[in-house]
Amino acid sequence: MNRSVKAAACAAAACAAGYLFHDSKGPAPSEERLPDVHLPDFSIPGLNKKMAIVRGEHRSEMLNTALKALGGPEMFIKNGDRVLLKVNAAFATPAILSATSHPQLVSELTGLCYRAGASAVWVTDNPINDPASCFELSGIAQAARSAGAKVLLPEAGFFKPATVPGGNLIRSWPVLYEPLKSVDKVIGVAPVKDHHRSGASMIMKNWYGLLGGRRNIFHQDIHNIIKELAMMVKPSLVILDGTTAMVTNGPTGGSLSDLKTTNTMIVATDQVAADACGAGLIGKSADDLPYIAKAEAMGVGTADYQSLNPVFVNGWS
Amino acid sequence: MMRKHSTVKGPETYLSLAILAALIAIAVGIFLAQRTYNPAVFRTESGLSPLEQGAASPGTSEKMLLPAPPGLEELSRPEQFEAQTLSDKIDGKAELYLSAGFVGLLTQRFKHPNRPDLWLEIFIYDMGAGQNSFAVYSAQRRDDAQPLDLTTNAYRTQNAIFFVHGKYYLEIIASEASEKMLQPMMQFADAFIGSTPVEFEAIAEKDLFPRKDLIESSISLIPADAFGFERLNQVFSATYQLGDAQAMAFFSHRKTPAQAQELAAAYQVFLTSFGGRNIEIMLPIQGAKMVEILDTYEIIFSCGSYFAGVRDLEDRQMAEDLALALYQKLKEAEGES
Repeated sequence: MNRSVKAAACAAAACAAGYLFHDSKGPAPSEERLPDVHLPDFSIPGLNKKMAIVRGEHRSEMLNTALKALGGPEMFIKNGDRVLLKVNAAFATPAILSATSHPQLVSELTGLCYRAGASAVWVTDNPINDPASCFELSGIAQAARSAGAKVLLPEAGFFKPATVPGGNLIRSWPVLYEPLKSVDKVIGVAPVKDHHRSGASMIMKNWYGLLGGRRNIFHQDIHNIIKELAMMVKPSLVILDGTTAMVTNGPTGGSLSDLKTTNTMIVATDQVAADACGAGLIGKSADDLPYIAKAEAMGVGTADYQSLNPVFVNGWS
Repeated sequence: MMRKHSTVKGPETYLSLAILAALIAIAVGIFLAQRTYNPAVFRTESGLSPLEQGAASPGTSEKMLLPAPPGLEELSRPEQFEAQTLSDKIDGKAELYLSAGFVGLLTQRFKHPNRPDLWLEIFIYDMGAGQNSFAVYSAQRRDDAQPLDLTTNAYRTQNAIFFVHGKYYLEIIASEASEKMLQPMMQFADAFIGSTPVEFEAIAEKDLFPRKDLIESSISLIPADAFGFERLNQVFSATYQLGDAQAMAFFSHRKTPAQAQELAAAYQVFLTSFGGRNIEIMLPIQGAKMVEILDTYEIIFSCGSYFAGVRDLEDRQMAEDLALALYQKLKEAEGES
């Protein structure tokens, strides 16, 4: 009896100690605990001022035309390259609502990469909603698989803390790093959309899908987070799909009447220039989108896309 | 005399050793887990990892299952979102709802049994009050809206229907523009309205706009940051077709006449800070101010507890006429209250 009482008392003391030490929030991220990773620079030397703007009806045709105008896919994809397509699969919405990257574009781009000699093509994003649903219901998963790409759904182990040099927001913040560290080229693929907070969601905003954690806190400083995302990611190429633009009620839309047929495809190696050009498709200018000037000021690219002497192609037959 | 030391052997000893071994194993496990700490998966207050938070809602329960629209079957489980998690579903648009009194969101998807590409998603926003649901409804109303006879505020577009039912704002969005989907969408809407008792809240403010040249469907309630001014909240606005031009009239009921006056003065300062130019005005509206900005005229005034005005007019006379008409309506309302 005596021993039982003592044992019970020890157990109670252990439970009390466990309760006192319990920390539901977990420890704060610490640089000392895990070293930050550095995202590789995927930009291609000597190709940092390339831009093509194609007008047409069909995404696949416009993409081919744009790449041809820039020297062909072989300018950007070399034999054996492992390529990552960073798409916008943020929402589990059908492709017709243009809230996500269009499946046709994902499929065509995957095929072009393989024909240019890529050894592997991966497609990824860290969506707002459930990843599996987003990739399936948006049609991106099916399109990617059909073309031979592998869809990488985000997993906990894919994230590593990263800090953007010169940034104030992305500091030891979880970033979808594993897919990035394993590839040679990164291509950003995004639709042109209105956005309730930032004014627009295009190429630079698309990198938001590389963030993990409770990233919605950055909505309070939306223009600076977009700036830092653009500082963090140096892609090989960006493709801004303005075939159909979401001109209102973004970024989710929901009605076909939120969309406008704008028949434009912008392909560039300067993501700031791409966004500056794309702004016009939703009735805005670069000046209306503060994050563009902020990114330009940090040397990410130029808002004066005309200075890149873009190749204009009217694809109407 | 030497004391005999009793020894305890057998089951008690083995049990003790087993418990100690378990405790040591737990300690080793915690040590190893902490060594591989990953900030991406540290638990937040909700108890879910960041990846899990974007997935099934923590509040999902059988009780919240929505009845499947006729002819459709469940595609996904219901999801619930609260203020803290709303952006996990609708991203940047969450701010619109949060500023308008958002309480909760319930969503679920349903599909056609024979066509997996044909599906719809139902969004049921609990906005806490009829005025709030009207605010988010009117803020997002599409230009090609076709009125529906579901409720006082209801319309459809090619692929979706949107309506207000008391404190609820609903969106039913289909994966394609299909008449085949319209019927189950409407049936669900009817069933929801019939089975969900609400307090009917008439938006009396809609009747305060002058009727002449009013585009009735344009009446909306801006919950916050009206016209870019953070102090302008709960502002009713309406568009008028004045010949070939369109103009906007607006008003907001404040707590006291003094607050309405002060807000009018503050808004005038806001406009001039962005390059607006004060213009002398002679109107039978006490304290009315006119500002010319971006080649248009704005007239701002207060009437009792109402802060009000008109904007976007290139014709000064039209601006004055509309302002006067609005003033008369507000004055009548003030006289009745």
